[in-house]
Amino acid sequence: MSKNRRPPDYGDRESRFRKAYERLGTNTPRCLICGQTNPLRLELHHPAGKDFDDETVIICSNHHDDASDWQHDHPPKVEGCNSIIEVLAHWVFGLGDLLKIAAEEPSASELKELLTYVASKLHMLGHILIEIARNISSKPEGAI
Amino acid sequence: MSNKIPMIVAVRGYAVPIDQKKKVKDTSGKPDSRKNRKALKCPSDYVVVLDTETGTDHAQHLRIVTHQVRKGIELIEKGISYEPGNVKPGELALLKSYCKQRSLILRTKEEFIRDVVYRYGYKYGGQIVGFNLPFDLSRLAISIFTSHGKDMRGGFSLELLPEKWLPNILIKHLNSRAAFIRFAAAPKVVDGRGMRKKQFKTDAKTGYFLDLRTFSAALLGRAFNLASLATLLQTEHRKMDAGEHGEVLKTHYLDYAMNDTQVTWECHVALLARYAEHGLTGTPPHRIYSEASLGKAYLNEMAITPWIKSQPDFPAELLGTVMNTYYGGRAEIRIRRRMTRVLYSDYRSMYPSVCTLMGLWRYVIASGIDHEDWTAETRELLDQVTLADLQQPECWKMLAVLVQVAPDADIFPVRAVYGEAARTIGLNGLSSDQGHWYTLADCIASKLHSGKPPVILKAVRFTAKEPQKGLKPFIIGGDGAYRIDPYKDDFYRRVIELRGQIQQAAKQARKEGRTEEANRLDSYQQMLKLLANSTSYGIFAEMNVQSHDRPKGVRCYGMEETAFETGTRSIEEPGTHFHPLLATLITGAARLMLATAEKLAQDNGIGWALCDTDSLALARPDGMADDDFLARSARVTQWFDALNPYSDNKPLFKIEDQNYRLDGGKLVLGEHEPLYVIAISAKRYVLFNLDSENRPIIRKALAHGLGHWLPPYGQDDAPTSIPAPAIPLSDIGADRWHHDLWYQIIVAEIEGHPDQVDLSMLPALDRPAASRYSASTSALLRWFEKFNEGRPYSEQVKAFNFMLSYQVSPTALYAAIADGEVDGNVLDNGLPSVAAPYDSNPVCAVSKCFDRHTGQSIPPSVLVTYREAIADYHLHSESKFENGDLFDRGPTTRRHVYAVNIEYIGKEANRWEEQFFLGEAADAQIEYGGHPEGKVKFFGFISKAAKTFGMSELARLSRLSRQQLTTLVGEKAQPRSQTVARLVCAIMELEILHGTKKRNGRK
Repeated sequence: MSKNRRPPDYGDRESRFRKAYERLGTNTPRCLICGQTNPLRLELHHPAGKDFDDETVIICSNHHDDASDWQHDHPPKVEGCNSIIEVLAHWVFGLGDLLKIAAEEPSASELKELLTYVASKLHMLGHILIEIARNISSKPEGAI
Repeated sequence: MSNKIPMIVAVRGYAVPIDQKKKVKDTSGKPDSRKNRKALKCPSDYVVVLDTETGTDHAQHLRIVTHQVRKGIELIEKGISYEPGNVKPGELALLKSYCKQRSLILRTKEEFIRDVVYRYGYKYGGQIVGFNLPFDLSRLAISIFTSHGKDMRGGFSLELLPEKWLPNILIKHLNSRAAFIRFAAAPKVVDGRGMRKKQFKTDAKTGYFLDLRTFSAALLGRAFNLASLATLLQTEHRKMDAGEHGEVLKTHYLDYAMNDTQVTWECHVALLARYAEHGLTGTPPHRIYSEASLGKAYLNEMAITPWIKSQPDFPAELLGTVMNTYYGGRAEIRIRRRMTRVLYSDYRSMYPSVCTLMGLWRYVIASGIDHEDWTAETRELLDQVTLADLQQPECWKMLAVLVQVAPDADIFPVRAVYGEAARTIGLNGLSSDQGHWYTLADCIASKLHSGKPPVILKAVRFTAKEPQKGLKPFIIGGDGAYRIDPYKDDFYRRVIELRGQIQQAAKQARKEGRTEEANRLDSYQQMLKLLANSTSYGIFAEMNVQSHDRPKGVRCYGMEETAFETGTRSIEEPGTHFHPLLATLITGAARLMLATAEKLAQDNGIGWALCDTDSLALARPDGMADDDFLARSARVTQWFDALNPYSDNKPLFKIEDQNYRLDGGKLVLGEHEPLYVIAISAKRYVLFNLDSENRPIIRKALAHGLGHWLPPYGQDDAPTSIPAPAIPLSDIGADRWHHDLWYQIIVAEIEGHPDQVDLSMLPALDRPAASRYSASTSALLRWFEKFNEGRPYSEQVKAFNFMLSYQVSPTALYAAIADGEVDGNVLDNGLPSVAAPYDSNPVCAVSKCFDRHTGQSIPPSVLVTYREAIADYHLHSESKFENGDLFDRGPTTRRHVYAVNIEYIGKEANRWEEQFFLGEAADAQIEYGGHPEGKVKFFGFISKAAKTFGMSELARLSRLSRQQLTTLVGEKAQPRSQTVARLVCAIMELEILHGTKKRNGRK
C-alpha cells in the first residue's frame, strides 16, 4: 500500500473514547441529568438553542433527544429583535426543560414536585421575557 | 571623570511589525460563525515513559529503547525495543531471552513507535515522559527537517515513520533546560464533511510531552541529571552504574536501561506530587517550562489578566519611551586587580523587595495604567531629594515616573561599544545634545553620584487604574497560612516571607541532622526565590524573538517624536505578561539601591570594590583599622533597615556568610574574618580569606568566561600542591579547576607578580580545551552540513547529538602541515572547525577529533590547550571604564560619554546559546539602526571630523578606504553598525592624539 494513502482506520475502543472526550471537551464528562459517564453516549446540548447562545452542557443522548424535542415548543425567534432579553428568555426556557426532564428521573422522585414547579415557573418567566423582547423590537428607533 | 569621548549610544526601541494585521471588528452584526473546538488541556490517564540507549560514535545512533506504559499508576506494559541495524545477532538473542525471562515485550523500533508512541501518546492522548526528551525523540527519527511552523521556526521536525498520515514531532530548543515539543498538525482533514459544513474547526492534537529535565528545573530551581534528581526526590530506585556505553549488550546493561525507565517514572510521580502542592489546577505540568511559567501560572490562578490584554490600546509612542529607559542590573568593578579588604553584602531578594517598596503589585492587578505630565513635580522632587528621604518607604512609592533629561556630565547607565568588545552597559558620565529618557530612580541615583540633579525636560507619571474585577484569592505552595488576597495583600511580600520561614526550617533540619528534609526544604525555598524573581521581573521583561528568512518591515518607536520604519529579520514579540514599565521601574530602583549604598559608603569614608545587580563589596581604604572599617560598614548596611518591607526582622542589606569565620569548614556566624577580593572585571572576581601562613582560603569565585569549558580535571585528580577547598565547591560556586586557577591568581597577587600567574603545577591544563554542546538548533546542526553530505541518515550527526568542540592553534597547525602530519587541504575552508563525539572524559575524545568541513581527522597536537585559552584570564579588560585595560590595576574611573548618535536595539540576549558556540552572530543582535533625524546629525559629525583631522587620517585609523569614507561623508550610503563603531573609535583616537578641546557638533 502507498505510504501516502491512509488505510481506513476507526481506531480501537480506547481511541474512540479519546475522540469522544475531545469532542466533549473534557476528560471527565458526565450527563448533567442522569450521571451517565460513557463518553460514547454523551452529547453536547445547547440549553438556550443554537440560534441564541453557543454555550453547551453535556447530557446523554436520550436526554438530549428529549431536551431538543422540548425546544420545538419554545417561541420562534422574534423578528428584528437583537435584544439580550430574548437570549435570556431562551436560557430560562432551556433551564426549565432540563429541570422538567430531571423531574422524570426515578432518582429525583422526592424532588419531582419541586422541580416540576420550578420548571413551570421558569417557562412562565420565559414567556414574559419574550413579550418584553417583542415590545422592544416593535417600538420605533429612538423611542423609550 | 575622563575627557569627553564621542560615542554611539544604544537604547532599547519598541518595534512593531508594519504588516501586523489588526483584527477587524465584524460590523455586520452577525456572530462569528466558526466554532473552534479546542484540544483538551490535559492528557488522558495513559503515560508512556521512555529512555533510549545509544552508541558512542559521532552519530550516536539508537541501540535500544526501554519503556513503560501506565494507566494512572497501573503498569500496562513494559518492554525493550531495538534498532535492527544496530543490534548484532548475538545481542538480539540476549534481548529475546532477557525479555522472555522478565515478561517484557520486545519490539523493533518501528513497532515501538507505531504501537506505543502513536497509539498511547497520540491516539489515546497520553503523556510522553522522559528525561531530556529532545535527545530521546531525535534518536527515534528516520529523518529530520527544519521546522517552519509559526511557533516552531528554527526548530526541528522529526519524521518517525514512513506513513505520511502520521504527524511528525516538532521540537524547538529554548535553552539548555527547556524545549517546546509537540506533534505537528496531522496532514489530513480532522473534521468530517458534516462538521465542516456546520463551520466546526477542531484544533490539531498536539500531544502532551513532559520532559522531566525541564519540569524538575522549573519546580526545584536548579538543573538536575536523572541521578541527582532521584536522590533529591528519594525515589525507591536510583540510577545504576552503566559500565561502558556502546559496548556489546550485556544483561547488566539491559538491567541498567530498564532501571532508568523505572527511575524516570518514579521521579515523574514525585514531581507531580510536588507540583500538586502548588495548587495550580489551571496549568497542566507539561506547560511548565521554567520558573517564569510557574509565575505566570500563579498569576493566572488569581485570574489576573495580563496588562497587554487589559490595555491593548496603550500608545505605542509611550511604549517606545518606556523601552528607552530599560537597562539591566549593574555589574561593575571599582578596584581592579588589587587585593582589597572588603565587606561583602547583598540585598535580600532585591527585585521583589523593590517591587514591594514601590507598591508595584497594584500595577500588576490594575485594569490599566494612566499617565500624566509630572514635570514640575519631578523637578521639585529631584531638587529636594536627599538620602534621608530615600530612607522613607513612602518616597519609593513616588518613583513610577519616567524623565526626559538633557544630560550634561550626569551619571547614567550608558549602553555602548566600549573598546573592541561587544556592547555593554556602564554607569558613566553622559552628555548629549538630545534629550534622553531615564527612570526617576536613575535621575536620583545620578544626583547622588554627581551631586547635581540632571536638567529635566519632561516627566511622565504612571498610576495604576482601579483593580481588575473578579480576582481570586490563592494559597501559595498549598500552605494554608499563606493565603493571598490579591486585593489586600502584596504577593511579593508574602512569597518572600514564606521563603524566609522555609529557610529557617531548612537550617533547623540541617542542624538536627535531617539532611533529606533539609535538602527538600532548600530546593523549595530556592523555587520560591525564583518564583518571586520571575513574577517580580522576568515575566515583565519577556520578549520572544521570531527569526525570519527575509527582513520584515518594522516601525520603531524611540526617543524622537515620530517613529521610523526599518527592516529586521528578528521580530520581537512581547511575552504574555510583558509589562515594560514594571520591568524598567524595578531595575531602575535596584540601581538606586546600589547608588544609595555607594553614597553612604562615601559619606562614611569607605569605598567599594565591586557591585553585581544586588550585591556590593564595601572596601576598606588603605590605612584604616579593621574595626573602624567594620563599624563604618555596619552604618551603611544598617541604614537600609528602615526600608525593610517584611514582617520579620532580617536586614534588607545583609552581610553575606562569606564575611564570617570558618571553623573546621563550619560557619561561625557573627565572627568576622577579614575577607578580601580580587576583581578583574564585571562578574569576574574572587572572595577569600587568608590563613595564618598567608595562604588563600577561597569563599566565593565566579567562573564567568570559564563556564563553557569542560573541566580538564575533577576533584579526584586535582594537584596536591594546591590546598583543597575549605568549603564545598558548590558553596564557592565553581569547579575545582576554577578554584585552582583563582588560587594561583591570588598567590601571584600576594607574591607581588600579579601579571604572571604560575599555573605550572596544573599539568592537566596542557590538554586540549574542550567545550560540550548539543546540536540543538538548525544553525548548530549546520556545522555538520558538509560532514553529513553523502552519508546515510544513520551515519550522520543528527539534531540534539552531544558533541565536543575544540579550537585550533594556527601555529601548531601550520607546523603539523609542514611535517606532513596533517593534509594541507584542511585549510580549504579556512582554519578547520574541530569537533568530536561527546565523551565524558575529554582526554579520550581528542583521539576522535575531526574537521567538520572536510571530515579529516585532526591530531590533538594542533588544538588549543586550556593553558593557552586562559592565558590572559587574569588580565581581562574592563573596557567600559577608564583604567580598565589589560595591565591596568587599581581604581577604575567613569568614562564621560558624549552621545553623537542614538541607535535602537532589541532584546540583548537573543540566541545567546548559539552565539556562545558560534561566536557573535551579526544577525542575532537585533538592531533597528538610528532615527533618520539622528543620522543627519551623525553625518554632520563625521564630515566635521573629516575636515578637522583630514580624510586620509580618518580613513587610515578607521580602516576604511578613502572612497568608502567619501561615500559616507557625502551621505550616499548607510553605514553598518560596525563601520559606525570603527569611525567613532577612530575619531576618539584622533581627538586624544590631537589633544583637541573642541568637540564636534556640540555647539
